[in-house]
Amino acid sequence: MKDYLYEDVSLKSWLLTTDHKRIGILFLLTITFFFIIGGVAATLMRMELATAPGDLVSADVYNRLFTLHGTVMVWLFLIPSIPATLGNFLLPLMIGAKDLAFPRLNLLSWYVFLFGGLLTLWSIIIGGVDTGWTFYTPYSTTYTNSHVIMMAAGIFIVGFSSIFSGLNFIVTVHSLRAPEMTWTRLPLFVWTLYATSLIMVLATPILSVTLVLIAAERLFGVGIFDPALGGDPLLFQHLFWFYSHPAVYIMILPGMGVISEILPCFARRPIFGYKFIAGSSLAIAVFGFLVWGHHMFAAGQSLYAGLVFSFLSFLVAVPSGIKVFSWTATLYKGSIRFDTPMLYALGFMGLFTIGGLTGLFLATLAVDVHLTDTFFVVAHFHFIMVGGMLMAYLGGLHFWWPKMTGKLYPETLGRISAVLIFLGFNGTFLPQFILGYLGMPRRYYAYPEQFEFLNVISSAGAVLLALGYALPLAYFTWSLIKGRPAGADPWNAAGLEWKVSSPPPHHNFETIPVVEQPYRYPRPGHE
Amino acid sequence: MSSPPELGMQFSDLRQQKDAYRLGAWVFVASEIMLFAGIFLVYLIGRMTHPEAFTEGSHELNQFLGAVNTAILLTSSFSVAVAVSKAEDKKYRTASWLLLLTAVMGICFLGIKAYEWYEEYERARVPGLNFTYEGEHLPGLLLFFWFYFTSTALHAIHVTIGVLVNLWFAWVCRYRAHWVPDPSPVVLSGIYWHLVDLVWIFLFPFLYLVGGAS
Amino acid sequence: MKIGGVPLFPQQADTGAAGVDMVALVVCAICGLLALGVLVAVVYFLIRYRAGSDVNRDNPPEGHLPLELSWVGGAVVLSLVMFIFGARAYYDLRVAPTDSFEIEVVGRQWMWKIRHPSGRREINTLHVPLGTKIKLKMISRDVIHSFYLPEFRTKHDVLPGRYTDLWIEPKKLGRFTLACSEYCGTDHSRMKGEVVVVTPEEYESWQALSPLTSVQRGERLYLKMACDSCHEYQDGQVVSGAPLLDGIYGSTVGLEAGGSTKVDDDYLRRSILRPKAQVVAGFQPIMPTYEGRLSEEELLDLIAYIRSRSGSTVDDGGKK
Repeated sequence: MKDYLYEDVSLKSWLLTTDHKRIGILFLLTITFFFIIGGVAATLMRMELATAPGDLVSADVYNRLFTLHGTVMVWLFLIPSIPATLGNFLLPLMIGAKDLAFPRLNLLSWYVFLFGGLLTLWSIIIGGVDTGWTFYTPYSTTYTNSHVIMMAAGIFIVGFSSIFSGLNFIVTVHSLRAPEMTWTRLPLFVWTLYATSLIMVLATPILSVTLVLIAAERLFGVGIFDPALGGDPLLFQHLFWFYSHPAVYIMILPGMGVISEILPCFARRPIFGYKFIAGSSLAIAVFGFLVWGHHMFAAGQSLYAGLVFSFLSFLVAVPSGIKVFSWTATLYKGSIRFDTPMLYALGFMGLFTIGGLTGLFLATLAVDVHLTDTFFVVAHFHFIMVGGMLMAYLGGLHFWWPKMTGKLYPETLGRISAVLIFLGFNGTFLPQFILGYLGMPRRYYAYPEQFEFLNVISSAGAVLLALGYALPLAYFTWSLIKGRPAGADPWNAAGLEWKVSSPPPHHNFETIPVVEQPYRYPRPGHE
Repeated sequence: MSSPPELGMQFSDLRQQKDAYRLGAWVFVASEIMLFAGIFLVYLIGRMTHPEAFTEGSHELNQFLGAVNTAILLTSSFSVAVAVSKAEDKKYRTASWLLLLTAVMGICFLGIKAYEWYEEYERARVPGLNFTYEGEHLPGLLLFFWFYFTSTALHAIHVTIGVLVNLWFAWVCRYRAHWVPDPSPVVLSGIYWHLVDLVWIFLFPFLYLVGGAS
Repeated sequence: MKIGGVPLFPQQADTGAAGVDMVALVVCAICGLLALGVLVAVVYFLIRYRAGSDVNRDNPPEGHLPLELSWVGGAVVLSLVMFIFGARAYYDLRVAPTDSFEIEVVGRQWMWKIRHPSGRREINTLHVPLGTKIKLKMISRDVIHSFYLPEFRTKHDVLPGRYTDLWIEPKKLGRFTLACSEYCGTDHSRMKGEVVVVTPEEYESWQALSPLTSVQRGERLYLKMACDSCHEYQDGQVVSGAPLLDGIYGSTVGLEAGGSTKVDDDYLRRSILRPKAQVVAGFQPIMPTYEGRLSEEELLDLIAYIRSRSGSTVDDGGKK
């Protein structure tokens, strides 16, 4: 029987596929393309910042670069990264289903994403946007003459893709689990996808409304955000962060899920604290909706709002702490192997811990007043988004690559890339914490001399980081042609996805699979 | 015409498929409610910022036609509810008539709505098209009419989709009742129509009644 | 501490800076200990339980309720500690003392315009006297900016259409950084300047070189715009149904539309620009709108003058 890749190799069969695995691959290719574009923008920014004066590009170009980088990385890479690729590919396999509940909706989600993404790119090609990905008003509505409406339209459309995927995942988890796949047997990755989907479905509409309002204010001059027309610019920030803070959890929760899959497999023991990890994912999804005001401690919201949001922000850190402690305990009495996915997972643990703890500086009111809108914030969220989500994404990709393609990648190169990315990342972003505390504001294309030394270190780290990213791109491609066959279960892993051949057959399971407790390590009969 | 609803390959039985569709509809409704909740929230803030302009704006609307439309939608919600219950009792013929009635009421709603829009167009109140106003409530009134047209247009799109869905199921129930071995698709369209109605129940007082009796 | 001639810690130029640094150190200590704990545990487990090592691996625990509950509880308690430290310092940072004196800041793309009580103006430089509590009353003419003083450990966004404030108490003579930290367009990174802390005596003589105070300018404007034709007594009668301005600042007035409001700077500003929005109870909405007819600086002058007629020289938010 043919696997899903060779079922039908025509282009038409790919473009009209409703197979979740193929759609996952389509998303993978698309977001890799956007990642490269966002990465090029980041490279140019780091080159500009390698010297104190603004000498490489003009201020306007720099402003367009960081807007491009932020917009593309957040909406066209990070938000769809794990859910739409690994999630799409693995969710039905992991719960013993033949596909998602709504396969056609899934395909539509990809087309919508592609269309919205290309529209966003088009806004950049015809001249770009210089508002930053945050679109703060009244700059974005009244003062800039860049292509805000076009970009907002692109992101508005991409939002529907998010909603479709979220809806699909929620229904699939509820309705399509194999008969013995109870809620307490669900892989933790599925739990995080479920929590993520809740946020996608409930928060994204608010972003849509906000973007429409921006467009309306630019087009018709309705006075909702611009005080010159009787509006309130802070209203925009409330609406924007009501979506964009939960969106941060869209960007990190699935990463936590991936780590919860990788750690037990390479520690060869069951995960520690399954119920607490699963519950903490839901807690993050719920609390995530209540903390948006912590982006506005120095923005003009009332003192008491600040106190409440600070308090809730500390509480939302607790579930993340639970996960880190549980992962640490999962290493206790394990039999730990250091394959590439494990190296990425360990890197994630280190970087995510730093990212999370520096977040507490920003939740602390008085300290945030000093640090907000400085490089400290930039470093903090890159530790979460890149050190966290991207490390997890790459770890997951290395973990499931043999399953998705049926091929093995060169293990040594994999380990080198993991180490390179870890070192390069720290080199890039650790100095930025100090820069932030010293008072270097973000979104500066030229800066005072005294910050140059740390910026040079940061730019040097970015070179290593770029090399680290280029490596997997090269050897993954190589492995498609020359890689050794992987076999159904190269890691000797638990989980239903490893019970089918690699690459999996078109409809995943011929018969309903037998479900056991999750994370049954060490595997009986193997070790 | 498309093929009869059958068991998707991803489902193991019809019951599972029905559950999935029903849950999908509810999740969709939840997402839609967040969308309209966002609009209502911003509307309320706009109203707090420009109370007089919003009062003036709502006085300019045709309260009588708005009330008629409200009555029509409420009645249609009742007819769709009865249609669903008839379909569940396998009384497809009656269900078909009721769905058709619902669709006709939806069309009436759209017709009246279109006439109202025409009235407002005549008074030069369409932002981006012909909005002209010289009084002292300018930014607020513009905002009010922008909200009015955006939210009623968005709602009208929903009504249009609902009408088409109702017509489709009216046809299916009448001539292809064997396509609906269980009434779940009809239930879905019922859920959707109630959402459309619910949104209007908020829109009507927000837009037409904020100013009190004119 | 310096690396490559670069300080790793900014100077403390404000009396509140040490407090903020203290809170940061507390958070740093708690987080550092947590990170260290996790790091040590992870490294220890990785080495001890590496594949092939000869150790006891019997019955690896899959959960341990007391342990899990204790780290949930521990995390909550530590969070509360940090929260309380941060909130206390934030309160001190945000709530300006009533005896501070006021300097006005108007932000625009891409410069800071500053005016002192004596009326002396400067651009992108802020002279302040040592050891004095100073309140900066800020507004923007265009987009959102943020007035950031890293050595003073404080910043606040400067919004269009609404006054925000920031207060400082310099404790060190010298020149310090002033920067815009909210992205505001092309030359955001050039919208910076410096704070010059001088002795109170120097400041006095520096300030004295000023043509008119803002109250004086406000009074001239008041007469020029003929505000007095409605807002004044004539033979003991209010002339044409406009509220008298004496003593109104800081009081609470009822509104024609119901409810009441405190007469503060923002209310005065709104009432000048859009008088009909919040009419004082008992009056008709007859005042014309001044939107677009007054610059932000002129508005500040007028408000300063109206305040002076209630004997108030600073914006104390109506707390009298």
